[in-house]
Amino acid sequence: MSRTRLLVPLILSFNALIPAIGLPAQDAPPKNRNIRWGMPSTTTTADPANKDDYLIDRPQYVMSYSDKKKTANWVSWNLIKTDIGRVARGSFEEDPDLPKGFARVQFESYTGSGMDRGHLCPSKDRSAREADNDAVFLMTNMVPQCSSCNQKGWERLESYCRDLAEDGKDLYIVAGPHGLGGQGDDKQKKISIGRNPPFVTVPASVWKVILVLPNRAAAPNNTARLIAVWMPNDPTVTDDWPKYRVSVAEVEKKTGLNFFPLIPGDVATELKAKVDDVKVVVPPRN
Amino acid sequence: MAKANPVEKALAEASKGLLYPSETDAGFEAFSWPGSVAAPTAAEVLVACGAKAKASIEEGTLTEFFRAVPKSRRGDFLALAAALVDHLSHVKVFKVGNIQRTAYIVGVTADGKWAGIKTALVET
Repeated sequence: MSRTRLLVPLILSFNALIPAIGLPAQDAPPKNRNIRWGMPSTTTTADPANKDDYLIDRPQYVMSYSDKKKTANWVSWNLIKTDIGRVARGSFEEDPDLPKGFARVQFESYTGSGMDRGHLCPSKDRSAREADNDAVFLMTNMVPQCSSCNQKGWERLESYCRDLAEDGKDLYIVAGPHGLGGQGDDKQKKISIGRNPPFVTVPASVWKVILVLPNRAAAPNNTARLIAVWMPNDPTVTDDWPKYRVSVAEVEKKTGLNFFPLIPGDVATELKAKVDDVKVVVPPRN
Repeated sequence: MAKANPVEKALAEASKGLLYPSETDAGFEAFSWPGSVAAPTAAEVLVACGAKAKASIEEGTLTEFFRAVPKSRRGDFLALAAALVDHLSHVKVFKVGNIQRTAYIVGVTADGKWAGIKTALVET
């Protein structure tokens, strides 16, 4: 047997092994910048049969949607300075890209419910172009949120993230609802809202996980900043969002999700165990 | 309070029963202010509506304002849009405040006053 005849099958079988091993170093980062450090759940395709973990992949964000809850499970987006602009706000519309067999929530489902149409990916995070803003006004990006939560702590954290982005930071944000039953500012406990079907599930809490990188070129190492919050969907929420900080590990435990799986394991474990303790002063409202 | 101003009356009629959808839903209220033949400036709106002089105010257009109305409901707003154009010139939209905001859609009446409609918005 010649050397060549021996080598060829060896090389072929070695190459075939690489994808099977799935070495992270061999993988190109995801094309969609919104999931640069990976998606938090294992769903990888938009499969209409997968009604409670249906993937929606847009240039503006990536989302897992639940037709059972009629809200997203999570929304993931990247936030940098150039995402923030001054376009006029879009209109709340049904999501035209939900497949057949999925109920499409209309903006009217929230009318008179006592709950706000709370954006998961906020309007101002996609305000540089009209098309970007329209995408975050699709009803799949909304959760029924208590006004105090939406307009106080949750909003203050959104503004804080935009301040970091304006300062040149590169942010990877994942947000979602959790649990069943929240409370409006009217103190009424609500399991779901809507006068007619489809009824939208009111979450008991909302959570957010934020990876803050110093710039676009930086990769996460053990000095990266990870912020996580867990907020009740009720009137107790105040402007003081830092007091809702928890570890990412805690959010993972409660949701069963695995955030930023493309961050090397040892770095991720260390970062996720910590509760962000950067001193934050919430500015007074003007 | 007597609503002597016929423009105010017409705008109240045209906006009756309408809800403007922001992160909440809110009805409209017509108003008239003493004014002039020129459109009000942002500073003049703050004085007329009784807001603090340093309150946040953002000026926009009627087109931008109606952009936020869902497509399925734009028809409901046609009569209001027509009434605003019929009764007012130099129509502008001013959003006063942050998060819980008031939108003033205001223009100049034929007899040189300012009139319009206002609604509450939640914009986070």
